[in-house]
Amino acid sequence: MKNHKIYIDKKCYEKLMDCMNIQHVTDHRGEYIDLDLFYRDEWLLDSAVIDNIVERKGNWDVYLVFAHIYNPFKMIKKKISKCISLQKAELAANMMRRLAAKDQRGTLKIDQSLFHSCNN
Amino acid sequence: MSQTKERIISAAIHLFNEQGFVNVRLQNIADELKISVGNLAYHFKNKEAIVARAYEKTGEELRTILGSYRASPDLRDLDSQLDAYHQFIKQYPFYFIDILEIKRNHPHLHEDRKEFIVKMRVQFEKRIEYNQSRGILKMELDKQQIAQLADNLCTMVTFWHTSQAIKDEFDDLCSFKCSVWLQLLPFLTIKGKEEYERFIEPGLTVI
Repeated sequence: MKNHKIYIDKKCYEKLMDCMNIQHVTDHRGEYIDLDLFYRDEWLLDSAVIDNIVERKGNWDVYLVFAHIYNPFKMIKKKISKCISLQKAELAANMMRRLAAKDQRGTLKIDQSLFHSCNN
Repeated sequence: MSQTKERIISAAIHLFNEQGFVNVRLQNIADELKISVGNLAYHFKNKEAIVARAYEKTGEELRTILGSYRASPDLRDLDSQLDAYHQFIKQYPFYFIDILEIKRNHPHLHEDRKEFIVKMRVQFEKRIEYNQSRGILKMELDKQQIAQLADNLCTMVTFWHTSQAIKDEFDDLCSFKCSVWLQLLPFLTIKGKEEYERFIEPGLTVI
């Protein structure tokens, strides 16, 4: 088979070299701001983990909801996996929740009154 | 590639360097290797095939040199690449001396070389920009001047051997590197001069 040569465009090569330059510029001591993600996600340590199973396109999607125990409005929902049966999804959800939760016994709970919801 | 083919290419490159690319015939290569032209033609059917393979070989070497971009975060990076370029120029002078002949007779090979020269130029340009960003070269240099300076450096590398051959002078690494660095010296900042004196200057005087 004949080998076909691949040429790289000049502009593309320039961009590549720019990236190489940036790579070297970033090769310095880090700043405290780089560690911000740890502080930003610190609230997750005090969060209750709730599993949530949703049927979608013939599969059962497993979601985990992380909600802050003092401010339940602060929450994130992540899709963890999908299973072909409800039983498997429940088992996977239970295992994932126990893995993700800080307190595996599940004592970290959200106080419903914190939502200040009005029944009227 | 077989050992015989490798020997043929080495002999051809040797003759291209000695006699010039146009003056070498298959007979000369066969004589150099002490084999018959028929035997030579068994491995490479014509001179074109030999030239193409020789160019592939030089291309591989050039790719390795270009691949060493930003191997070190200071001026030593450019210095080591100049060493490599000089080594290449000495090993394959025909690559730069016979530029026009190759352009006329083998335009497709010329395209390959043009690509390498463009990359070399881009690398010089980006190196200047990089050294500007870390305060080694003066910031007064604008985009156009950087491009011009990169062009000058590229011309110097490409035509260095030719200019030395015209003057009948011995082509040594020190004078090559001095000439290239002289282009950059006026644009070095105080920090740049310190780095130059620390890393580059000792190497230029020792050689």
